[in-house]
Amino acid sequence: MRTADWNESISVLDRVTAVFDSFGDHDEGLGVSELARRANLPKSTVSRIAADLVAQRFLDREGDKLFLGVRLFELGQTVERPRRLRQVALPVMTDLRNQTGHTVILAVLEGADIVIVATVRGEAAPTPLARVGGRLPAHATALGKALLAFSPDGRDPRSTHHALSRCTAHTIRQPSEFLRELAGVRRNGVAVEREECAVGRGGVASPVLDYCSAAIAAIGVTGSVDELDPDRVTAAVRASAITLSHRSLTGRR
Amino acid sequence: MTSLTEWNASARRSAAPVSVLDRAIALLDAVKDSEGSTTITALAADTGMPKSTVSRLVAELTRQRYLERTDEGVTLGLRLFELGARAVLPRRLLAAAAPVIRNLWHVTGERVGLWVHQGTDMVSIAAVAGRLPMLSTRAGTRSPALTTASGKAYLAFCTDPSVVDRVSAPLIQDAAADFRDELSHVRTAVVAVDREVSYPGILAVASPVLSADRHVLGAISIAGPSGAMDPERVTPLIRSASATVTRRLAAA
Repeated sequence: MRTADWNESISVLDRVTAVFDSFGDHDEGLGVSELARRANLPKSTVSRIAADLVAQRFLDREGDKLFLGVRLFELGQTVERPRRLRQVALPVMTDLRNQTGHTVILAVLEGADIVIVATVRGEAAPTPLARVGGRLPAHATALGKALLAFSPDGRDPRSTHHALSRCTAHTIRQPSEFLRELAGVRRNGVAVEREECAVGRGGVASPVLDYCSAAIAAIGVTGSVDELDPDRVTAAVRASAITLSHRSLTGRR
Repeated sequence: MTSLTEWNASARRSAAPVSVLDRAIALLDAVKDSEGSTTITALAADTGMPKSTVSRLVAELTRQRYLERTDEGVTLGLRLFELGARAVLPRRLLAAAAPVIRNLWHVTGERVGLWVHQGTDMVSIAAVAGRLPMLSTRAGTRSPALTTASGKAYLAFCTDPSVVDRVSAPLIQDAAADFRDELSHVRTAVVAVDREVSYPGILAVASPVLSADRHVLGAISIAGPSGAMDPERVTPLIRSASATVTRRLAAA
């Protein structure tokens, strides 16, 4: 009896997650058929789940389109880790933007991806590749390399094997080369990326470290490769990351 | 005769959620209300669910990253942050309202807030502190729709009578009639006022934000110390602010 109940609860939550994850970063709303296709679930199932989720405002309905709902926004704003990081980091990020003129991004590591926690836009900067809450592949970004180099997984060749997917012709895909890259990041305290994630874009990032020198986040600048000269911003990025590490440890804001 | 506390506790326990989804949502809400980390035992007490059920569901919610384990117990997980950032209504409202909020704050120096409705509460999308630093400016915080200016501004323009009924359910008959009168007055004035009812010493004035097809989406409010903020002065400002947000939403 308990096993049946347990299995049922897994599948219900799995289906809800599949529905949530069907909404992309830029979606302006999805119908039930499109949701069913993306979630790979029967339309009747999605229709039933959607009705439950709309009633709880985990989804919002407008006409026959569904959107991620206000309750998710409310819960999302309360999540402790990004909230605390953002609170501590925003003044430091604003300083770094003012010093460099570039867009400044704060991110955390989540599996093989980075998740953007906060963004401070540069004046004439191009639209960032991902919004707050969005993901980018860790191995192809300066932020991700800074995080991986200072995470327990970053020294383990096996952990990076599966993740080195191609984003551009410049993406580092050889595990041995990637480990050398991470060793360099550990040596310098700074990661540099040039057109490895998207053509025409680049970035410089540095890790925010805890007591054990493990990365809890990374801060960096990003922009078009024509305007972003790594040599000119490296010192400022490193200094920001050190300030932020210190403030996170002492709890100062 | 049972005491009031016991009566409340047993009522809550009998209302413990039944479906897996409702149980999962009740757990997420309880973790949210704990403002940080909480434990399985506390969650079982808060939700009225058996500890074994809580423990199983927490394990499952943690596996799916809706919750995270910490040294102190469990806290809300990063998946909720990712999903919440993609919620469309708050994002759309904020994009339309951000310059308007900034202007209003520059002109008045008072607390300005943007709100959406949820259940019997209003949920904040954005706020600037003004002269009321003791009130949270955190997005995602709730205040009661029944008494706040933003809540009344929203309800006055809400076309779903069941929403108004649910919010005004605690009112006794005369008070409910007064409340409906007040809402119809708000509809005429396009402005709702809260004179120190929600928060002692604080005056707030709010106006609804409407979609292109005149459907109410939320409210924008201004609040200040009741002796020091002149309602005559801020009323036309908040009315034009809400009209600007409505226009910007239609143009977007």
